[in-house]
Amino acid sequence: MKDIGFITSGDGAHLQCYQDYKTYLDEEIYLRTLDRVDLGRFKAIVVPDFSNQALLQRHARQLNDYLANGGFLIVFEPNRMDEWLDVVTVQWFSRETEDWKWWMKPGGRMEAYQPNPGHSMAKAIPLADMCWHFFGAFRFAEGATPILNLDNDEGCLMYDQPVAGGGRLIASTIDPHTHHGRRFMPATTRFLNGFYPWLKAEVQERG
Amino acid sequence: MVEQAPAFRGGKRPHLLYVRSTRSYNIDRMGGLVPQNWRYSAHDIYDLEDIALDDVDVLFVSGMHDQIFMKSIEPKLVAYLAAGGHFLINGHIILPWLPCLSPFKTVSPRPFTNWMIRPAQPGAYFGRMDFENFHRHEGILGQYARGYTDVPEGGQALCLIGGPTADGSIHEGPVDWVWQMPDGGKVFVHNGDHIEQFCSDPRYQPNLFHDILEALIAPDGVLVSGKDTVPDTLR
Repeated sequence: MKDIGFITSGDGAHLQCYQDYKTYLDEEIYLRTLDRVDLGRFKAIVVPDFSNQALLQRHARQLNDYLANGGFLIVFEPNRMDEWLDVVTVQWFSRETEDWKWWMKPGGRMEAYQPNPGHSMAKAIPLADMCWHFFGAFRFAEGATPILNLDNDEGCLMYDQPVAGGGRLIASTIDPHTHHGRRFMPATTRFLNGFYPWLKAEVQERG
Repeated sequence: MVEQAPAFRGGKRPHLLYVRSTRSYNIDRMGGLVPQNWRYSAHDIYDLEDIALDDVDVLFVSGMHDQIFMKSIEPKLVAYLAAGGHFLINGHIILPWLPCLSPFKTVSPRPFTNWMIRPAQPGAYFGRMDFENFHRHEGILGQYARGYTDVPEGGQALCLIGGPTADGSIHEGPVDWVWQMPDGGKVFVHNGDHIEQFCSDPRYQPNLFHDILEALIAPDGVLVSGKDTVPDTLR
């Protein structure tokens, strides 16, 4: 069994990210022909931000089956996973970043925090490396561990949820791949520099 | 009586085909950005496999295009170019899908002035731009582009990006360039995300997007100079 499959829509940022993190990734899977791939061969599948939503919809059954059959699925927005994931209920809502230029202001911060600093991802990636902007937020999912929340628990930007049948979903509304892949916003690079080693270790530890 | 040949592949008016990709930045705005005296149509990127391109003058490829797919139809795209069709290509090319394209190269973001866009041979494409400001988004450097690709032999570097690196060497290159296939069409490449975001609101002049389009369809080769090259047919 392979560790991590990375689903690409063929966009330059996706292709760049696969090149940059292929030490941790086992296979680049082309979304347009996803039906030719047995996802069950992978311990984890990453759907990066800004994937082709129409193609995700077309291949939704396969992705849902993977999760239902015990797969570990990681999905970043803006992919509207609430519209194509049905194995679990995802409640996404529209919410703009208060000030996308917060980083230009002295003492500026994005309106988010890590509610569970003991979560293994929060240990691997500091808050500063999870903050640039986001594409909406989630209502809190039942049984899920929030990793990144909006201030005052107005909503959740990233959570980790066990799924019946042994599956696991990490859902996130931040978009690190599109910015790292386009060489813009250093926090997104720092996020991925923490994320992929974390994910690799996570799938290897848990088998 | 001898009938005059149509001025453009699209007929009496030039025809821009917008190649829609997922989450293209201006996916719902493009119809208002293309000059109203042009013919405009839009197709999903995957339609390119089947539709005829004979009546298309400019294929506009947005920054988030599927490069694996474009590579898979490269012969069709080369034939379109050889027949005189033009390309306006946005994005970071990682998988070159035309023979004249090459992989993206990142410039050092430090010092921040490396992200200042400077003129090379801007011609009519960028000749009306104020280089201090046109490439800033809400005043921020870097939204325009962070790197470049090499210009094919015989092409024209329009704008430059880059500068000093940490070891003191200079790393700069053409962020925007144009190349013409011999006896064929032109390829304009913007090595950023979406050129139409910059100085291209149709309510204002000068209009970068319009200038690029009009320079692309100008009949006088790549090295177009001067500030007013609007073809007579469009006046």
